Amino acid sequence: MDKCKSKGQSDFMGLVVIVLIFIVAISFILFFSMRENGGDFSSSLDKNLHTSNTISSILQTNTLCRDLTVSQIIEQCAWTNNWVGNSCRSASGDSPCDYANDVISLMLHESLSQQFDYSFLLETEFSQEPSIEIIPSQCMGEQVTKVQPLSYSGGKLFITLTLCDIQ
Amino acid sequence: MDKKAQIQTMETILVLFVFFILLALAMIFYVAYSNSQSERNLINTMDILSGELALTVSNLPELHSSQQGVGGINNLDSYKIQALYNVISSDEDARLVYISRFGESKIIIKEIYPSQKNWTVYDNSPENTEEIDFVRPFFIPITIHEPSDNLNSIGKNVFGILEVWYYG
Repeated sequence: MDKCKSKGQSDFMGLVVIVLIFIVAISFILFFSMRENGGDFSSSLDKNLHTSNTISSILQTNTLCRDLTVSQIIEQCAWTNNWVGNSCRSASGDSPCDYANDVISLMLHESLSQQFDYSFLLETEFSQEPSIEIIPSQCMGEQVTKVQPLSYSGGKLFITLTLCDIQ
Repeated sequence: MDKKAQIQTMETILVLFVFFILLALAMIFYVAYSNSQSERNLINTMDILSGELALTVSNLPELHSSQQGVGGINNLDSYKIQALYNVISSDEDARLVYISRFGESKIIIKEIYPSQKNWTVYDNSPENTEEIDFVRPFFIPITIHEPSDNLNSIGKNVFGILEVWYYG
Protein backbone atom coordinates (compact mmCIF):
# COMPACT_ATOMS: atom_id res chain seq x y z
CA MET A 1 0.00 0.00 0.00
CA ASP A 2 2.91 2.30 0.99
CA LYS A 3 4.72 1.39 -2.25
CA CYS A 4 1.60 2.35 -4.21
CA LYS A 5 1.31 5.67 -2.36
CA SER A 6 4.97 6.51 -3.02
CA LYS A 7 4.55 5.68 -6.77
CA GLY A 8 1.50 7.95 -6.92
CA GLN A 9 3.47 10.74 -5.27
CA SER A 10 6.38 10.45 -7.71
CA ASP A 11 3.94 10.38 -10.67
CA PHE A 12 2.35 13.56 -9.32
CA MET A 13 5.79 15.18 -8.94
CA GLY A 14 6.58 14.25 -12.57
CA LEU A 15 3.36 15.93 -13.67
CA VAL A 16 4.22 19.06 -11.68
CA VAL A 17 7.70 19.17 -13.29
CA ILE A 18 6.15 18.85 -16.80
CA VAL A 19 3.67 21.65 -16.07
CA LEU A 20 6.52 23.85 -14.75
CA ILE A 21 8.61 23.23 -17.87
CA PHE A 22 5.57 24.02 -20.01
CA ILE A 23 4.97 27.32 -18.15
CA VAL A 24 8.64 28.32 -18.49
CA ALA A 25 8.55 27.55 -22.25
CA ILE A 26 5.36 29.58 -22.74
CA SER A 27 6.86 32.51 -20.79
CA PHE A 28 9.94 32.41 -23.04
CA ILE A 29 7.82 32.48 -26.18
CA LEU A 30 5.67 35.31 -24.82
CA PHE A 31 8.73 37.29 -23.74
CA PHE A 32 10.36 37.05 -27.17
CA SER A 33 7.21 37.73 -29.14
CA MET A 34 6.30 40.77 -27.00
CA ARG A 35 9.80 42.13 -27.29
CA GLU A 36 9.56 41.79 -31.07
CA ASN A 37 6.41 43.93 -31.16
CA GLY A 38 7.87 46.39 -28.69
CA GLY A 39 9.04 49.41 -30.64
CA ASP A 40 9.65 49.56 -34.34
CA PHE A 41 11.68 52.74 -34.44
CA SER A 42 12.29 52.88 -38.18
CA SER A 43 8.60 52.36 -39.00
CA SER A 44 7.57 55.16 -36.66
CA LEU A 45 10.28 57.48 -38.02
CA ASP A 46 9.18 56.62 -41.53
CA LYS A 47 5.55 57.54 -40.83
CA ASN A 48 6.46 60.75 -38.98
CA LEU A 49 8.69 61.87 -41.83
CA HIS A 50 6.05 61.06 -44.43
CA THR A 51 3.18 62.86 -42.69
CA SER A 52 5.03 66.16 -42.27
CA ASN A 53 6.73 66.04 -45.69
CA THR A 54 3.56 65.06 -47.52
CA ILE A 55 1.51 67.92 -46.08
CA SER A 56 4.16 70.58 -46.70
CA SER A 57 4.87 69.30 -50.23
CA ILE A 58 1.20 69.13 -51.20
CA LEU A 59 0.47 72.62 -49.90
CA GLN A 60 3.20 74.32 -51.90
CA THR A 61 2.50 72.50 -55.19
CA ASN A 62 1.16 74.59 -58.07
CA THR A 63 -1.88 73.03 -59.74
CA LEU A 64 -2.99 73.16 -63.37
CA CYS A 65 -5.74 75.57 -62.31
CA ARG A 66 -4.19 78.96 -63.19
CA ASP A 67 -1.01 77.82 -61.38
CA LEU A 68 -2.74 78.32 -58.03
CA THR A 69 -1.07 76.44 -55.20
CA VAL A 70 -3.00 73.72 -53.38
CA SER A 71 -3.00 75.87 -50.24
CA GLN A 72 -4.65 78.75 -52.17
CA ILE A 73 -7.37 76.41 -53.49
CA ILE A 74 -7.87 74.95 -50.00
CA GLU A 75 -8.37 78.47 -48.62
CA GLN A 76 -11.04 79.18 -51.26
CA CYS A 77 -12.64 75.82 -50.45
CA ALA A 78 -12.76 76.57 -46.72
CA TRP A 79 -13.93 80.19 -47.15
CA THR A 80 -16.99 80.16 -49.48
CA ASN A 81 -16.31 77.18 -51.72
CA ASN A 82 -16.63 79.53 -54.70
CA TRP A 83 -13.82 80.35 -57.08
CA VAL A 84 -12.13 83.73 -56.80
CA GLY A 85 -11.56 84.56 -60.48
CA ASN A 86 -12.02 82.02 -63.27
CA SER A 87 -13.27 78.64 -62.16
CA CYS A 88 -11.60 75.32 -62.88
CA ARG A 89 -13.32 72.00 -63.48
CA SER A 90 -12.27 68.62 -62.19
CA ALA A 91 -13.72 65.12 -62.50
CA SER A 92 -15.69 65.46 -59.24
CA GLY A 93 -17.26 68.87 -59.90
CA ASP A 94 -16.82 72.62 -60.34
CA SER A 95 -16.10 73.87 -56.82
CA PRO A 96 -12.67 74.55 -55.25
CA CYS A 97 -13.30 71.72 -52.75
CA ASP A 98 -13.98 69.25 -55.58
CA TYR A 99 -10.85 70.40 -57.40
CA ALA A 100 -8.67 70.21 -54.28
CA ASN A 101 -10.14 66.81 -53.43
CA ASP A 102 -9.20 65.38 -56.85
CA VAL A 103 -5.69 66.84 -56.89
CA ILE A 104 -4.87 65.79 -53.30
CA SER A 105 -6.33 62.29 -53.83
CA LEU A 106 -4.09 61.82 -56.86
CA MET A 107 -0.96 62.99 -55.03
CA LEU A 108 -1.66 60.87 -51.95
CA HIS A 109 -2.44 57.80 -54.03
CA GLU A 110 0.72 58.11 -56.13
CA SER A 111 3.05 58.86 -53.22
CA LEU A 112 1.69 56.87 -50.26
CA SER A 113 -0.62 54.04 -51.31
CA GLN A 114 2.19 51.51 -51.86
CA GLN A 115 3.47 51.87 -48.31
CA PHE A 116 0.65 53.11 -46.09
CA ASP A 117 -3.06 53.28 -45.50
CA TYR A 118 -4.00 56.90 -45.01
CA SER A 119 -6.76 59.39 -44.40
CA PHE A 120 -6.84 63.11 -45.17
CA LEU A 121 -9.24 65.65 -43.66
CA LEU A 122 -9.70 69.37 -44.15
CA GLU A 123 -11.75 71.01 -41.40
CA THR A 124 -12.44 74.59 -40.40
CA GLU A 125 -12.81 75.77 -36.83
CA PHE A 126 -16.53 76.54 -37.29
CA SER A 127 -17.93 73.68 -39.39
CA GLN A 128 -18.84 70.28 -37.99
CA GLU A 129 -18.42 68.47 -41.30
CA PRO A 130 -15.00 68.25 -42.98
CA SER A 131 -14.76 70.24 -46.23
CA ILE A 132 -12.54 67.55 -47.76
CA GLU A 133 -12.50 63.94 -46.63
CA ILE A 134 -10.27 61.39 -48.35
CA ILE A 135 -10.40 57.95 -46.72
CA PRO A 136 -9.53 55.21 -49.23
CA SER A 137 -9.28 52.52 -46.52
CA GLN A 138 -9.78 52.33 -42.77
CA CYS A 139 -6.60 52.80 -40.76
CA MET A 140 -5.72 49.81 -38.55
CA GLY A 141 -2.69 49.25 -36.33
CA GLU A 142 -0.15 51.85 -35.30
CA GLN A 143 -1.07 55.32 -36.57
CA VAL A 144 0.78 58.60 -36.91
CA THR A 145 -1.33 61.75 -37.26
CA LYS A 146 -0.18 65.24 -38.10
CA VAL A 147 -2.40 68.30 -37.91
CA GLN A 148 -1.32 71.37 -39.86
CA PRO A 149 -3.20 74.59 -39.02
CA LEU A 150 -3.48 77.34 -41.64
CA SER A 151 -4.94 80.82 -41.48
CA TYR A 152 -7.44 81.96 -44.10
CA SER A 153 -9.87 84.87 -44.53
CA GLY A 154 -12.55 83.17 -42.42
CA GLY A 155 -10.37 82.04 -39.52
CA LYS A 156 -8.35 78.87 -39.14
CA LEU A 157 -8.44 75.62 -41.05
CA PHE A 158 -6.89 72.31 -40.05
CA ILE A 159 -5.35 69.73 -42.32
CA THR A 160 -5.13 66.28 -40.75
CA LEU A 161 -3.14 63.49 -42.34
CA THR A 162 -3.10 60.04 -40.70
CA LEU A 163 -0.79 57.26 -41.83
CA CYS A 164 -0.80 53.65 -40.70
CA ASP A 165 0.74 50.38 -41.78
CA ILE A 166 -0.82 48.79 -44.81
CA GLN A 167 -3.00 45.76 -43.89
CA MET B 1 13.55 -9.38 -11.23
CA ASP B 2 15.52 -9.21 -14.51
CA LYS B 3 12.35 -8.42 -16.39
CA LYS B 4 11.48 -5.60 -14.01
CA ALA B 5 14.96 -4.11 -14.40
CA GLN B 6 14.64 -4.35 -18.19
CA ILE B 7 11.29 -2.52 -18.08
CA GLN B 8 12.79 0.21 -15.89
CA THR B 9 15.75 0.61 -18.27
CA MET B 10 13.36 0.85 -21.21
CA GLU B 11 11.34 3.44 -19.30
CA THR B 12 14.49 5.51 -18.64
CA ILE B 13 15.52 5.28 -22.30
CA LEU B 14 12.03 6.38 -23.37
CA VAL B 15 12.10 9.35 -20.99
CA LEU B 16 15.55 10.35 -22.25
CA PHE B 17 14.38 9.98 -25.85
CA VAL B 18 11.38 12.26 -25.25
CA PHE B 19 13.63 14.71 -23.39
CA PHE B 20 16.10 14.93 -26.28
CA ILE B 21 13.29 15.35 -28.79
CA LEU B 22 11.96 18.27 -26.73
CA LEU B 23 15.47 19.70 -26.49
CA ALA B 24 15.93 19.39 -30.27
CA LEU B 25 12.59 21.12 -30.87
CA ALA B 26 13.58 23.94 -28.52
CA MET B 27 16.91 24.32 -30.33
CA ILE B 28 15.18 24.42 -33.73
CA PHE B 29 12.74 27.04 -32.45
CA TYR B 30 15.53 29.15 -30.99
CA VAL B 31 17.72 28.98 -34.12
CA ALA B 32 14.75 29.87 -36.37
CA TYR B 33 13.80 32.72 -34.06
CA SER B 34 17.33 34.06 -33.85
CA ASN B 35 17.71 33.88 -37.67
CA SER B 36 14.47 35.77 -38.25
CA GLN B 37 15.48 38.29 -35.59
CA SER B 38 18.85 39.00 -37.22
CA GLU B 39 17.18 39.31 -40.63
CA ARG B 40 14.68 41.73 -39.12
CA ASN B 41 17.48 43.74 -37.53
CA LEU B 42 19.29 43.88 -40.87
CA ILE B 43 16.14 45.12 -42.64
CA ASN B 44 15.59 47.72 -39.89
CA THR B 45 19.18 48.93 -40.13
CA MET B 46 18.97 49.18 -43.91
CA ASP B 47 15.68 51.09 -43.59
CA ILE B 48 17.24 53.57 -41.18
CA LEU B 49 20.30 54.02 -43.42
CA SER B 50 18.06 54.52 -46.47
CA GLY B 51 16.05 57.11 -44.56
CA GLU B 52 19.22 58.84 -43.45
CA LEU B 53 20.51 58.95 -47.04
CA ALA B 54 17.14 60.22 -48.30
CA LEU B 55 17.22 63.04 -45.75
CA THR B 56 20.82 63.87 -46.70
CA VAL B 57 19.88 64.03 -50.39
CA SER B 58 16.75 66.12 -49.77
CA ASN B 59 18.87 68.67 -47.89
CA LEU B 60 21.83 68.60 -50.26
CA PRO B 61 22.86 72.18 -51.23
CA GLU B 62 23.57 70.87 -54.74
CA LEU B 63 19.86 70.06 -55.13
CA HIS B 64 18.05 72.29 -52.68
CA SER B 65 15.92 75.04 -54.15
CA SER B 66 16.21 78.59 -52.86
CA GLN B 67 14.76 81.95 -53.76
CA GLN B 68 16.84 85.01 -52.95
CA GLY B 69 18.96 82.88 -50.65
CA VAL B 70 16.03 81.45 -48.72
CA GLY B 71 15.59 77.70 -49.07
CA GLY B 72 12.16 76.11 -49.40
CA ILE B 73 10.94 73.19 -47.29
CA ASN B 74 11.50 69.79 -48.97
CA ASN B 75 12.01 71.70 -52.17
CA LEU B 76 14.47 70.61 -54.86
CA ASP B 77 15.39 72.58 -57.95
CA SER B 78 14.80 70.84 -61.29
CA TYR B 79 17.76 72.65 -62.94
CA LYS B 80 20.05 71.56 -60.10
CA ILE B 81 18.80 67.98 -60.39
CA GLN B 82 19.69 67.96 -64.08
CA ALA B 83 23.05 69.65 -63.38
CA LEU B 84 23.99 67.15 -60.67
CA TYR B 85 23.04 64.25 -62.94
CA ASN B 86 25.22 65.71 -65.74
CA VAL B 87 28.18 66.19 -63.38
CA ILE B 88 27.97 62.70 -61.86
CA SER B 89 27.57 60.97 -65.21
CA SER B 90 30.32 62.87 -67.03
CA ASP B 91 32.98 63.74 -64.45
CA GLU B 92 34.77 60.72 -62.95
CA ASP B 93 36.33 62.72 -60.08
CA ALA B 94 32.95 64.12 -59.08
CA ARG B 95 31.48 60.63 -59.31
CA LEU B 96 34.12 59.35 -56.87
CA VAL B 97 33.23 62.13 -54.40
CA TYR B 98 29.57 61.10 -54.49
CA ILE B 99 30.43 57.40 -54.25
CA SER B 100 32.20 58.11 -50.96
CA ARG B 101 29.07 59.96 -49.75
CA PHE B 102 26.25 57.79 -51.06
CA GLY B 103 27.97 54.39 -51.23
CA GLU B 104 26.18 51.60 -53.08
CA SER B 105 22.80 53.14 -53.68
CA LYS B 106 20.38 54.40 -56.28
CA ILE B 107 18.71 57.80 -56.06
CA ILE B 108 15.70 58.53 -58.22
CA ILE B 109 13.60 61.71 -58.25
CA LYS B 110 10.12 61.28 -59.69
CA GLU B 111 7.69 64.01 -60.64
CA ILE B 112 4.12 62.81 -59.96
CA TYR B 113 1.87 65.85 -60.47
CA PRO B 114 1.01 67.52 -62.81
CA SER B 115 3.11 65.51 -65.28
CA GLN B 116 5.23 62.40 -64.74
CA LYS B 117 9.00 62.46 -65.15
CA ASN B 118 11.94 60.52 -63.69
CA TRP B 119 15.52 61.54 -63.00
CA THR B 120 18.01 58.88 -61.91
CA VAL B 121 20.43 61.26 -60.23
CA TYR B 122 22.85 58.64 -58.94
CA ASP B 123 23.14 54.93 -59.64
CA ASN B 124 25.83 52.83 -58.03
CA SER B 125 23.81 49.66 -57.49
CA PRO B 126 25.61 46.32 -57.09
CA GLU B 127 25.46 43.99 -60.08
CA ASN B 128 23.07 41.39 -58.68
CA THR B 129 20.37 43.50 -57.05
CA GLU B 130 17.82 40.67 -57.45
CA GLU B 131 19.74 38.63 -54.88
CA ILE B 132 19.55 41.41 -52.26
CA ASP B 133 15.94 40.94 -51.29
CA PHE B 134 16.16 42.71 -47.91
CA VAL B 135 16.62 46.17 -49.45
CA ARG B 136 13.42 48.18 -49.74
CA PRO B 137 13.11 51.59 -51.36
CA PHE B 138 12.65 54.60 -49.10
CA PHE B 139 10.33 57.32 -50.38
CA ILE B 140 10.05 60.94 -49.30
CA PRO B 141 7.41 63.22 -50.80
CA ILE B 142 9.06 66.41 -52.07
CA THR B 143 8.34 69.50 -54.12
CA ILE B 144 10.37 70.14 -57.25
CA HIS B 145 10.77 73.79 -58.18
CA GLU B 146 10.76 74.55 -61.90
CA PRO B 147 12.40 77.96 -62.31
CA SER B 148 10.84 80.76 -64.33
CA ASP B 149 10.44 80.45 -68.09
CA ASN B 150 8.55 82.33 -70.83
CA LEU B 151 5.18 80.98 -69.63
CA ASN B 152 5.69 81.39 -65.91
CA SER B 153 7.66 84.36 -64.65
CA ILE B 154 8.11 83.20 -61.05
CA GLY B 155 8.49 79.51 -61.66
CA LYS B 156 6.29 76.83 -60.17
CA ASN B 157 6.38 73.89 -57.79
CA VAL B 158 5.45 70.37 -58.84
CA PHE B 159 4.83 67.39 -56.56
CA GLY B 160 7.16 64.42 -56.59
CA ILE B 161 8.91 61.76 -54.56
CA LEU B 162 12.53 61.08 -53.76
CA GLU B 163 13.20 57.34 -53.97
CA VAL B 164 16.34 55.91 -52.39
CA TRP B 165 17.61 52.32 -52.65
CA TYR B 166 20.48 51.77 -50.22
CA TYR B 167 22.58 48.60 -50.59
CA GLY B 168 25.36 49.40 -48.15
